[in-house]
Amino acid sequence: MEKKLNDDICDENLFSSIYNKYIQDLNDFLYYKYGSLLGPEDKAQEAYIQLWTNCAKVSSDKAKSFLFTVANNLMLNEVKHQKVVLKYQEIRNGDSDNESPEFLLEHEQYLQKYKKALENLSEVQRVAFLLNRVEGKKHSEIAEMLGITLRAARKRIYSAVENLRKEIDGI
Amino acid sequence: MDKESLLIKWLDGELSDSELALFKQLPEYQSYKKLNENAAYFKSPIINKEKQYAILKSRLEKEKRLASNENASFKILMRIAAIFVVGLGLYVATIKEDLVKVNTSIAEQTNFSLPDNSEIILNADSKIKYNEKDWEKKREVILKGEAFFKVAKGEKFEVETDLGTVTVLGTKFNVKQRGKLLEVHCYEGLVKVEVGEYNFKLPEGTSLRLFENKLKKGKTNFTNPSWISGKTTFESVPYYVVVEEFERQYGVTVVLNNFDRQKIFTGSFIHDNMDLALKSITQPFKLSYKINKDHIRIFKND
Repeated sequence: MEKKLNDDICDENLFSSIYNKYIQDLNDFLYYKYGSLLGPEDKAQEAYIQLWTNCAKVSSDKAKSFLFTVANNLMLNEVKHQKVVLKYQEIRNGDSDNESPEFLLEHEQYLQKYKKALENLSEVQRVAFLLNRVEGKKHSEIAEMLGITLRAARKRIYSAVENLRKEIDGI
Repeated sequence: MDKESLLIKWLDGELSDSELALFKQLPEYQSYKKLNENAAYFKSPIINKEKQYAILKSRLEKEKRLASNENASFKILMRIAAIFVVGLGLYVATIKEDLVKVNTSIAEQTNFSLPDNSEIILNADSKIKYNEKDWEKKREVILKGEAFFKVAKGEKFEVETDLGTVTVLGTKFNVKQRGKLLEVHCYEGLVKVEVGEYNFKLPEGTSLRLFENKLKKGKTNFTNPSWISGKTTFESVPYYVVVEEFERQYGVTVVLNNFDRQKIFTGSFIHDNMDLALKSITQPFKLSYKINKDHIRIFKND
């Protein structure tokens, strides 16, 4: 194996490039896994602070797994069996005013069910599903991001979809 | 192909057209489609990377500062310890008499080098003391009077006077301490002047004057003090300061009659022609002078 030039990441340019590269993914991961109430953004920032503090010990190829592990641990410290709460956002379509009140009500009810079903999913299934469906990541990318095999990633996404469908459709 | 494989392929966007047609015929298709269409409502907030990074950076700096504060308290401890060590060192040094003393008398200038080849030119009626043995550890001289320093680069160099301490790293500067007057001119590099609890930094080409507890900053356009080239220059000093300096340079006693000693004088006098020198310090105020056997009398003509 060739020797890496940058053995640590204590260089500010390198550090900021690592920041830009992973901050959104890290935030998505925390948000989808633990919901919005526990401050995923704060935990992500906190993980970067710990990364900087330990910059001499972490090589750039280990930075990502360091960040995800630290952020996850920070969350776990706070979670202590708190219920996950997700939010759904108002997505306004240009033609939304053309929709009938009945449709809007029905849609709102659907989203409520969807939200509840998502909250009831296991963390690993929810993360994999939302990264795939919302962030549009390929299964292989998700496997790489979460440090799991492609097979495991697919299994999680597939199970998530089936669980969601069953719960929403009331089967 | 079973339902599971179709679904997985669909989820990864890898269905072929024929497979997609099959997938659409599944009874669950509408549910999958709806799930997919509405997933976007649960999108995580988009991070403003630049803004968040700026916040992170300021937090990191705050933590760095905290860490260095811890260092600072350690440094204070070290400083206290150092005072004991230096105190002991000075005590031992005085016993061993390693102190080198250089004195000049009236109308005399001397030129000498310190152990590190720093040069000092000592003006008339001045004294310098320093510890030769500890010079490598501590570059410190004690000055009474006026001297010009050309300091070799190295650790900090300190000039202690009764009125304040002047600290430098490697530079050319002049320190003048006469009575209640302390004047520092920096000709090269950077000089720090400590007066009581105040600190002043003098960059190249500036000067600082402390006179009767009043501070004044000024500029220096020269590269050396004028006295080295045989001339004393004054800028806005009381007249008695000029007279005292004249006495030092010519080894005479001057008696001032009928004239306000506090009048402010700006000008210069040369060191090698007393007659001319007297003229240059008396004419601006339209004063007269008389050279007597044991003193010179300067007086105002009525």
